Amino acid sequence: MACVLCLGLIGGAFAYFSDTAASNANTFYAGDVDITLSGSLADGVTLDDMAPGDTVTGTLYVTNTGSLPIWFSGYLANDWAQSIGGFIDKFTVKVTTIPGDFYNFNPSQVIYNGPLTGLAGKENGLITANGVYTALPGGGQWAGYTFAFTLDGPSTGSEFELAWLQGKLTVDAVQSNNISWANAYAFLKNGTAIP
Amino acid sequence: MKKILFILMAAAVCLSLLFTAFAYFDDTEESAGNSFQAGTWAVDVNNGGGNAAAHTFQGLAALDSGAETWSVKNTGTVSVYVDINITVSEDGTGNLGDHMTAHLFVVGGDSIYGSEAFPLAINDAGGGYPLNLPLGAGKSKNIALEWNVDAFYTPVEGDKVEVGLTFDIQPAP
Repeated sequence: MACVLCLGLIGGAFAYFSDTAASNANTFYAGDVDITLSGSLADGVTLDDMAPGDTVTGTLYVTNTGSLPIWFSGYLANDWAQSIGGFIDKFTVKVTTIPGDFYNFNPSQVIYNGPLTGLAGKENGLITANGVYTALPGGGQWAGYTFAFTLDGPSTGSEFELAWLQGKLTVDAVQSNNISWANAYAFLKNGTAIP
Repeated sequence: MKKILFILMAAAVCLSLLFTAFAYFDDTEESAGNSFQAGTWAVDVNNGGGNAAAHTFQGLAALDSGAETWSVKNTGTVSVYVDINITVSEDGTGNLGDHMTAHLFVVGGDSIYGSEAFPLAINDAGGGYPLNLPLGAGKSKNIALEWNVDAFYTPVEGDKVEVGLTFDIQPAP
């Protein structure tokens, strides 16, 4: 019996106290990049009977409705159409910032003043604001621009009477988190893949 | 052999990681179409279908006087600004142009050449006059030339002076 008892003690498991606790659930949501355009140029302006020397002004607001801060670039889409070749060359455009937006330049800054064709295509896009390397935060922050389109007076001859020009503005946006300014610039200008 | 295969596979994985572009979130928005259309711009002078008209003075005598009027109408669809270019030419052997004085003015408006009190020699009237005269679409304005021949003019057969007005359209000043 003594032997049996000894063997029982040797082979028996040690009793212990234990516990396990779990944290609350940790959740990771991806953010999003989403922009909306508003203003008269977003809705589309129509101006007839322009005379040489006339200027028409429109506004474009870029609102970051996503959750992530963004870099963005605005330019003329490539499908601008004209009834007479060379009519687009008769237009200049002056782009200025609108005080009160996120960047709040006051007085407003001219960020482009030159031929309309100088804004044609992704590679000629105006990125965010001139000389500003601050991304536009999400959550509804906006940047506003005024575009003043002028039909050149001295060089627009009567051969352009009733000529028309139609087109859209495009804005591309990309997240700014974890993307350097240089890489974002290359992506927005040239579509270069971000390494 | 297995080792070589493993090394090759590992190298392939490393290379693919090196050359894989960064994933990113982006968005593109496009505006509605914007449309700009030019109007038409043209002026008609004296219902002649062009932007110029001339008047010939001839068969005049000393102390003759009178007035001529050019009517310029904006036949385009947009407002324009009008400038005037004056040409003066004299034909014949006489010197009528030296004995004519003139006052050119916008009817109901400003003087263009000379004045009512001090008309000037018509021979010196040639040249361009940047009036920037506003003329709305479909509107007309009259340009008048009041003239006098002085007392010292001796008529010569065939002597004549032609005064031409050309109306040029300019953009807003």
